[in-house]
Amino acid sequence: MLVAAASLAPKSSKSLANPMRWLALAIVLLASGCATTYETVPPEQVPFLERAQTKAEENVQVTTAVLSAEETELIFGLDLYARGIQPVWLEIENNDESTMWFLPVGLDPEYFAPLEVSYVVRFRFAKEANEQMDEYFQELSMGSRIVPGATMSGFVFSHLEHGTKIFNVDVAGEDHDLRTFTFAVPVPGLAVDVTHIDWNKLYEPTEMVAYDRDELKEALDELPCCVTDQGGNIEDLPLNIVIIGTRDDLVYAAIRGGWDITERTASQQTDSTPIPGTDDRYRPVSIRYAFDRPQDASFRKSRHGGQPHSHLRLWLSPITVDGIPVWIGQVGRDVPVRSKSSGRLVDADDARTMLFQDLLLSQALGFYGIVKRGNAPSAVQSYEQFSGGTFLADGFRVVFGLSSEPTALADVERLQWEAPSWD
Amino acid sequence: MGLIRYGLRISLAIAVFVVSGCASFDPVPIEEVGFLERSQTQQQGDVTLTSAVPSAEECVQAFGVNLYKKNIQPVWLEITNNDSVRLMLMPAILDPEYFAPLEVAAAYSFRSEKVNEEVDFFFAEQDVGVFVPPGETRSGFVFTNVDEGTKSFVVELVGADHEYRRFTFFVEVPGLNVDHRNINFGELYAADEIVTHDLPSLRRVLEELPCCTTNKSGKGQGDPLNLVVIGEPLNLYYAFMRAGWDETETIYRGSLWKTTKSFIFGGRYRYSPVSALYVYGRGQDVALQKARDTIHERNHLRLWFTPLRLNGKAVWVGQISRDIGVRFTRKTITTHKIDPDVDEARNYLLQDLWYSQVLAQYSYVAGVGAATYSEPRGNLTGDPYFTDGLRAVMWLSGDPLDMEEVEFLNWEMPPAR
Repeated sequence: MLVAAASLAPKSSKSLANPMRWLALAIVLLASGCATTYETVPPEQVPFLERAQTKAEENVQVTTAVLSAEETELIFGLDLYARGIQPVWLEIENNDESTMWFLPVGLDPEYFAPLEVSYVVRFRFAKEANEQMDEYFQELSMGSRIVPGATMSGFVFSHLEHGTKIFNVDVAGEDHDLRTFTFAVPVPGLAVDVTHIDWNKLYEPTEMVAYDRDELKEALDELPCCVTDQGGNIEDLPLNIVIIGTRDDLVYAAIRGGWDITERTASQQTDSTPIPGTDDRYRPVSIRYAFDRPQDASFRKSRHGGQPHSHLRLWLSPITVDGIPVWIGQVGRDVPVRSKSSGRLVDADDARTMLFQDLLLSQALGFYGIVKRGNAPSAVQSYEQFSGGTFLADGFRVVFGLSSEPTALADVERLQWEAPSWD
Repeated sequence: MGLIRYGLRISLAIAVFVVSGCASFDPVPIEEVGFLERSQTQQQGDVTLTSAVPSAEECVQAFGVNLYKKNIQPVWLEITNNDSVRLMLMPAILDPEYFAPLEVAAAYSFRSEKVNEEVDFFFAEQDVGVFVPPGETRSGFVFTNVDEGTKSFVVELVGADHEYRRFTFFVEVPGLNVDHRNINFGELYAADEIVTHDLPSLRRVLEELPCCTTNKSGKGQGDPLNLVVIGEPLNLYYAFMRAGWDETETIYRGSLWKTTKSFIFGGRYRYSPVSALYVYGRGQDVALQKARDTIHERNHLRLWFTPLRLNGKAVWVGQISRDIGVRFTRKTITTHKIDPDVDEARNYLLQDLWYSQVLAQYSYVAGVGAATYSEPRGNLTGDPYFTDGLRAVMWLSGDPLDMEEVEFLNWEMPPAR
């Protein structure tokens, strides 16, 4: 019943480099009379709304769903994911007395305009189909002004994100009130560790240790200092952060802070091809060991344009504080290796500052503290890395306590624990 | 957190001393380079902050390598903390994608391992660090991504007292040939040409302004003049910089070559020139753009300084469009295919300024003339466009303004879309 429209998508120019293909194309065009058609499936026939989420606040109700790659291809007849474009469906119901304005910049500061998308994916030699496509994109796109009593729906064309897409829907009312609705929407398609690990089997109940907040500092002493090789024999990069938070809060805080959850570490041996349209953003982080197992969760931060920037590996520890799980992790920059040189000096703790600022600015931090890193000396030292090169590490780790509710910068509490020399 | 500054300072100094004298890496002490003469100082309470940004050439001297070529621009900071609490610098506010000193160092590879070590230590030593204890002064660099023309940035210092100290800098960086810098706005009009208006008469005059830009001889009908901005030149400039817009180079051979290169290779050349369109018989006074992932996708706008004043404030008229592709033309070699929905770009700018907290009030006024989707008009390069026929009028705010405080002046209401 559903039309597979992928075959209609414009072919890459590479495949047209062969003169025989040009000839074949010319014959097809002559024979068909340029009969390229633009075929789509009406959105109501694609069941993406089953995943819709709804939130309401001050007489405004917002419902949203993010199309998967397949759903996008059905509704828009084209593989928009391959172009890095992800349609977000919105429905805004205005039950207020004043007119509301939807502000797409709040959802994605670099959102695509509908006719921009249809231009980028236009067919060659098919004026009619392109005109049809322009009209269709224009028609399905989300509007901006919602008068009292009205409901408006449509798509916003945002940048592609995998795993979990977190975004704001900002609605400004002429009553001078800005209503912000924050959504965290799972996007089908990316296999990540956090959904594959059987969390209940990581530790026996007898291994778990519960502490309260006053005992936290001492409890952290029990955690290992560094990541290791597979056998646990060689110590390597410092486990330089501790995160206290539920799994959901952790994923939310990291993504909100600009970090992407990466593809499963297990996939790195079998398939390391980047997901189309996303560069290297979701590329698995290489495996390191703690508690005799690879990391339980991996995140990556990328630069504009997709080059890797920093990585974050996290392990769930057997410790809880006030019932909340404690994670230990290693965060570091992806520093390029110098050509023709074995000597490479890396500041292993530099990216910790970055993560700290990210969590602070995304208002995900409730408290933080600084504590000694296992039995490491509390001074800057250089260490040999088993993969080659040298790193500097300072013997401390930063402890991040996540907050479930957004916390203003000024309300973040600092635990008065250690004062390292650089503090 | 700033470990290198504090932990290794002495050992670094010794290391640098031992290996110095290598001919291949030879930085000049920053005091001798001269960019500090352009430094700016701001004070807030008991905290004093001085900043300067070296140009590409000055970087070659001060760092011994060509940082700009690798898209790295060091920002020099000197923080004097006479307050009673420890301060923490937030480099991610200055540039969310700042480079770590050793990351910068690793971008350069010399034949000699010794020199590589020297480069590592040298860059580590240039770091400004994170913490400034009470009563102390710290100076050094934060390594940011390159901004040419004017670099705008915010330095944020968080105190142990939970207070935030925010310093906004606009620093000119030599090397870019931009439109507005060559214009003396005070001399564009004779005193008797300046007309001061109140709100109702301004509305009438704005409705009567030409609908569109023209070519050099004043003929033809180009892109619609769909923007009016109210604010002093410096105010306007700061507002757009704060919202992340870049200056553009006037079209001359060098920059056209750069554009062609980024067109061919698809790179992100943020300062590619905007071709001249005409109003008042002259090319745009200000051309700005906001690059997106590639040059094929950017928003660009042109503004002209008008002889109109509203209660003493300068009034600008302008044009904005969203580039969605590049194609070759005979006249200007390459030109941009624009999104035919020009109102979409206009609404984007309104939101952009709103989110950047530089908008005080907005309105819509007639004057462009409507063109429908089915019967579009064309610009000078033959791109079709459609519009509701309105201009967005934007009053700039001098100080950052809360989003909920922005006023709407109901002159015209654009049709629901």
